[in-house]
Amino acid sequence: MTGPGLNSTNPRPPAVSIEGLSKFYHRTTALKELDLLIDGGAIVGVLGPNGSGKSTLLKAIAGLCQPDAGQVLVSGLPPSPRTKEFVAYVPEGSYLYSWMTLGQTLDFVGGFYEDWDDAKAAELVRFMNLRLDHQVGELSKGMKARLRLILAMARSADLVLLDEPLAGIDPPSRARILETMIKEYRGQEQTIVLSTHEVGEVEQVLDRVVFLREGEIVIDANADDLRQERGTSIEGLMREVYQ
Amino acid sequence: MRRNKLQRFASLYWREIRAARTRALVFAGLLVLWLLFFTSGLISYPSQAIIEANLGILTALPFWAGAVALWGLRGEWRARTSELLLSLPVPSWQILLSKLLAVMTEVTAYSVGGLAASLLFLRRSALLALAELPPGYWPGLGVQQALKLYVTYWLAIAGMVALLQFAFVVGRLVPRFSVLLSAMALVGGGWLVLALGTFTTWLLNLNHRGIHAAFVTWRPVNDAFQYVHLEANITPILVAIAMAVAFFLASAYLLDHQVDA
Repeated sequence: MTGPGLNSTNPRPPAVSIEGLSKFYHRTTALKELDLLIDGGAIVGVLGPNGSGKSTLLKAIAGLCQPDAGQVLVSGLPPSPRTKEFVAYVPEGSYLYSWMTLGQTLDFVGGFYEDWDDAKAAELVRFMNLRLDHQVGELSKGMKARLRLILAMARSADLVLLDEPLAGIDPPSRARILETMIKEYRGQEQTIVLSTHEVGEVEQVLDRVVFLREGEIVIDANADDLRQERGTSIEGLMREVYQ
Repeated sequence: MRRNKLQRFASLYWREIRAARTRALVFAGLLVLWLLFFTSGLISYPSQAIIEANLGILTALPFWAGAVALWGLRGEWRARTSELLLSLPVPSWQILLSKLLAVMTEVTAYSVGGLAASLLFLRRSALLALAELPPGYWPGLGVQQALKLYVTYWLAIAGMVALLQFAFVVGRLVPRFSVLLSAMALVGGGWLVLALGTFTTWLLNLNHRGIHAAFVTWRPVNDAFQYVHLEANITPILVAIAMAVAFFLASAYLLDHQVDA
């Protein structure tokens, strides 16, 4: 399947190119012969209920999950330490060292990336109402989600993968996260792929939506075109598709 | 903030060391209790027995190192911090090596620290014991042989840690059966080292090229010092080192290409 954002005259390889990707967990099929092409410079929403394969798809792009079949290319390269230099991956839930302080976490992670910006990280910490001496283990769920987003947005990564960035987060944190995402998005230079099962608040920022069901793509379209064509919001369409 | 490759590796290693702080405090506390027990005078024992008893630290350390190596890797997957580590732009061998070196730093710190603390707390007993050693043994020959044994001991633990890392990574290939797979990889890996060591010894016939070490030990049974002469064939030792390197490289490959974070 070719995404609507494909521009065949673009000399740059697509941000993400996936062919025949399958992933199985014991008897469960997480992804089934999935094809997907994402050109650079868009915010793509991977939508679907729990267990539809969203997280597995993002992990496969990030190089954290090994496909059972098929191929994933990120800017024309298979996932490797080389691609991780320009991919920012933010998983759902806590994946940080609880014994580190927020400052130590930023220092540890930031040191690995050429595109890390200390000043931007400091500004984001202030904007997100966080403190550098806070211990990660003592942060609330919303604060942890904000910290995760800082780790991605303090970089100028070409590809940002956000897995359920708003799941289980309180409304003030959700607003801050969305505001940061919009503020820091670098337009044509950056691609953001975010997965969510609650499309309501993020709908406004999505350029393209990919609906997943049981590891397969059921809809892949430009968000505006889809709204116009179906005469409903993406959230409304989601209710129709997954009811 | 930007770091070069060496600094990135140092950052991984330093993170492991910082994570080991609590363990180090527990170990230091246990060591102090152990030494206080000896100096308390609660029981009477020959002065030489103190030196022998402190070898208990060296006996326990391989088990400690093995547990720490497995615990460290398992903890990354349990806390999902493996997703952070494996999303960093560094090859997996650097992550594994930082963990291995951190464990070996602990082993070195605890063994050397334990020895130093023993000598500090128990220097009167140590001096009495040393005074009873045969003439000419201490310090020249004694230090030389002790170092030879210590390096062999250190390498053996490092090899064991590499095998344990391999066993853990093999277990992650099929998470549902991780314990079974890890146990099989551990037993199979150990057997392979023994079998290859035996085979190459027979094949190369290098019996005459051995490692020799002689040291003096005190035997409580007859209350006397005895020379102990150790002779080890170098072929199986070299095979074990090569196998440890192979296990390490295989772990890194599997982590890069086969294992999910």
